[in-house]
Amino acid sequence: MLASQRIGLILFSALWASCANVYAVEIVSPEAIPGTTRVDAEGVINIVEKISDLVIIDARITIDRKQGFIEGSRSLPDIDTTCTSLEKVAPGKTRPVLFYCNGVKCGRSVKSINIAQGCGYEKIFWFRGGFEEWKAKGYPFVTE
Amino acid sequence: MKAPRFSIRSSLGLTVVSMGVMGLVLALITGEMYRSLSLDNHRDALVELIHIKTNDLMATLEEQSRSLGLAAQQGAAFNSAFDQRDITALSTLLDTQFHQYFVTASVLKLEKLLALDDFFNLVAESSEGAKNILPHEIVCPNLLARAKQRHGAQRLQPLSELCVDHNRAYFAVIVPTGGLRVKGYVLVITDPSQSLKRIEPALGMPLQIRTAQDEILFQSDLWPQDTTLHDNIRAEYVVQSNLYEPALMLTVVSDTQALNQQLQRTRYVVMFGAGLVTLCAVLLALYVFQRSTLKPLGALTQQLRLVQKDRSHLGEQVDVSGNVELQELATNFNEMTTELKTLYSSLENMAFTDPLTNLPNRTLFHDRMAQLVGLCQRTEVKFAVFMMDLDRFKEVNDTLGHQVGDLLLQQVAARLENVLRKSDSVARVGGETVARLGGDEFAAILPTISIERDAMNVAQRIQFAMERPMVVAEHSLTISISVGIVIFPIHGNEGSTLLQRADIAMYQAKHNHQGFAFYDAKQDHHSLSQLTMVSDLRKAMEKNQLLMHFQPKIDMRSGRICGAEALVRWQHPDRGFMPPDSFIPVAEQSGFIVPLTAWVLNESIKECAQWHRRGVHIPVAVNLSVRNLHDPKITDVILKTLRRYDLPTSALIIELTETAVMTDSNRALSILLALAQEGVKVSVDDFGTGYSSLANLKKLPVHEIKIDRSFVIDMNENNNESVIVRSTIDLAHNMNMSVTAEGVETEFTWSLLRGYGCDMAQGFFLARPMPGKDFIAWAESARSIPAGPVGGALVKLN
Repeated sequence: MLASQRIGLILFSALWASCANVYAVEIVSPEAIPGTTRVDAEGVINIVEKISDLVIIDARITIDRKQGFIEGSRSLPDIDTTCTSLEKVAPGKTRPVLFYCNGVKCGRSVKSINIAQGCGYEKIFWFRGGFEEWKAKGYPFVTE
Repeated sequence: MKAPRFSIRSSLGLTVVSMGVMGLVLALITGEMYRSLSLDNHRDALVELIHIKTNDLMATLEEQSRSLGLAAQQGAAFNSAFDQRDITALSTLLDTQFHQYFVTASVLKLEKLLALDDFFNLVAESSEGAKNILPHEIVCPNLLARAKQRHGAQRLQPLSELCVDHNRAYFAVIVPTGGLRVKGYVLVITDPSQSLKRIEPALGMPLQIRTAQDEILFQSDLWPQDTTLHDNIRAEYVVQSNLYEPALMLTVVSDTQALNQQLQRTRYVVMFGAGLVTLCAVLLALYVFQRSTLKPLGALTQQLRLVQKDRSHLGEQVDVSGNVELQELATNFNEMTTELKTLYSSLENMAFTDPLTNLPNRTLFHDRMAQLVGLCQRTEVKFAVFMMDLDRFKEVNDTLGHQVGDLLLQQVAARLENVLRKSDSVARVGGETVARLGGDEFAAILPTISIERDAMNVAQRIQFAMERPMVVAEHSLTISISVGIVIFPIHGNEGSTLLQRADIAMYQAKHNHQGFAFYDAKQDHHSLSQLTMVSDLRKAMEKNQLLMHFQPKIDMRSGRICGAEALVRWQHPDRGFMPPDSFIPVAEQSGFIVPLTAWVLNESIKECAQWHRRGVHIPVAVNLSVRNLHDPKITDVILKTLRRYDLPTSALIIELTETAVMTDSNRALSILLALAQEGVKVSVDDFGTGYSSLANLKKLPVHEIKIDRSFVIDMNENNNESVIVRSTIDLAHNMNMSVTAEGVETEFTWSLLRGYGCDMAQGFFLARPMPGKDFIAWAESARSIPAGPVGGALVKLN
């Protein structure tokens, strides 16, 4: 690699990093969240078949949900998520719950999971790819 | 067949131009190939474009079908009807969906909607749909087979297929129903051609969609009447089903007019370029060719032309720069021209030089003379011409042989050259020419001699030079030379006249033993040219200008007329009386003597016949020339003429000169014998002038001799002539020949001859020659003259 190119890349990275710092919490999801089970789209379908009382929680805000959602999911945006609102959607701390939002760049499901863990939910599944992956893989979704 | 002639330049030009034409044709062909290739490329690109567009549209169709499939199962009504297997309700729901969608989304043409359970068994179907699809029929069974093989999450994914059923193409999409827990499927069957129609607006080209069986499913309004037109490209793309059967044929027609125009322009540019390149190549080739070949060739040709015009350019070297072949050619040319120069000069030498004496020959002499005459006619300068002939050279040749003669001529030539070259008057200027004209004849031009005295001096020096004896092959020979001199322009102003007159002067000198003579017009008997003379003579004979005169011969014993000699006379209209000596030699030389003799014979015998009728029975004597002896018909002519006038042969005497008889005695003998046998008498004329003797005449049938007048005229009582005459008469009598004396001009002579016993006499003393009518009168009156001296009465008759 040429020196000038290298310098360019470093500069670019530095710039990018300085910008990213501002939105870092919202944009980048962690690879894994301790105490949760991370699944992909197929994993979602499999556990839906295996766990009959699974509650799928859509952590997106309502505007995002309008473009489509996984059939059978319940809407609970992260901003509205509290132990009380969770109790309403998924009664009982042992109830298995699955969170998803728009995708890897969406931090809402992570936020909701944090809240749920704080409330004491034990069986938490995290669909990290979110609706983006779902749609990309051609799985059926519904719109209101 | 004669090959057409081309110059090298045009051949080369033609070659290069034909190469250029070939190049153009090649460019045209290449252009056509390029056009065809680019059309193919265009077509391929179009097919590729249709392919991409088709894939896009099919993906969209799949997407839409799937949306439709999902939409159809939404709502509680569908789910409860499906769960309860309420076929009627489901069919109604499907029909509703069918209509709804068909109306709202014209982008997609639904053929059928089916609801299947999770084992792919038919639960319900829309009652509407394609006529070709039977109730309860599953279209695209392959799709179901593929779907059955899927497990788990895969079953939720979309699955579609393009298939052919009943010769129709269908697009089937299977959509799961029951959310994430699959409990059945909705099968959406659509007509793909409806979606593919959008290729037309997308590509902006007329579209046609056909089935594999060529049934037209769709055709654009803009579809051209004739798609095979030149300006069209048809691009066809076959859409294959999932089982790789041809499902649909998509054809677009592209208007290639613009492309063709572009190609046409390209072709013109290529052709123009090729033409330009050819032109440049021609010019370059011609330039190089001009420099390397044509220019040197031109130089050689120019030199050849120069040589053709003027041989003096032979041997000139041509310096040629050019290609190797031409340089070699030039070298050979130069060698050849040098060789030719040598050859030509030796030829010229041979053509203009007398090989014996190395003097210029007659041709060169004439040439020089013509040049000098031309020059002097302009400048009025005088010059002299000498014509020289050795005296009695023939005797040298005859006695000592030609070899000696030739050596003598060489010495003469050397002496002549010596004299003329050393002559003071000549040497100063030069340009004199001594030439040998042939035989012993020499000629010289003395361009500086202008007055007779100088010419005379030179002539005298020539004489002097010849006086010293010449030693030739052990013979010491003294030879004299006769010189005829003419001076231009005094004696003539043309080359031929000068030569002729110099010749005459030379003969004059020879005849008079003068050594040299200037031309004298008075001595020129040759002034009338022979040709004129002959033609005049011919005319004279036709116009009766020729007359016959007859001179009586008198018997010396009886004093009576005993014969007559026929003599021809010519009264020329311009020149007056012409003596026989002046025209007979010309007639002899030209051969005119033969008709002339015939005429003379005829006239004489005719006249003689008249005498006989009048009772004068005397023979007529006719002179024959030596040339007549060469005429094989002469005997016939003589005898026929005699018969014509009914005269006996004894009435004719043939007179031949002694010289004629002796020159060709064998021929003379045969003719004279033949005549003598017929009874014609023969007389030898001018006897004594030749070299014969009576002994020689003995062999011939000669009846009479006529003693030449030169002896008779000079006769005295005791001189040599009278001795000769007397002894001749005696000898002739001994040999039984009669004797006639010619030139009897005095009574004294008559008496003397009578005393010698001469038989007959002829001469002015007796009678002059006279015309026929006078002669007969004279003969009749003189018939009775008694023997004895005849007096003035006879003479008076003349």
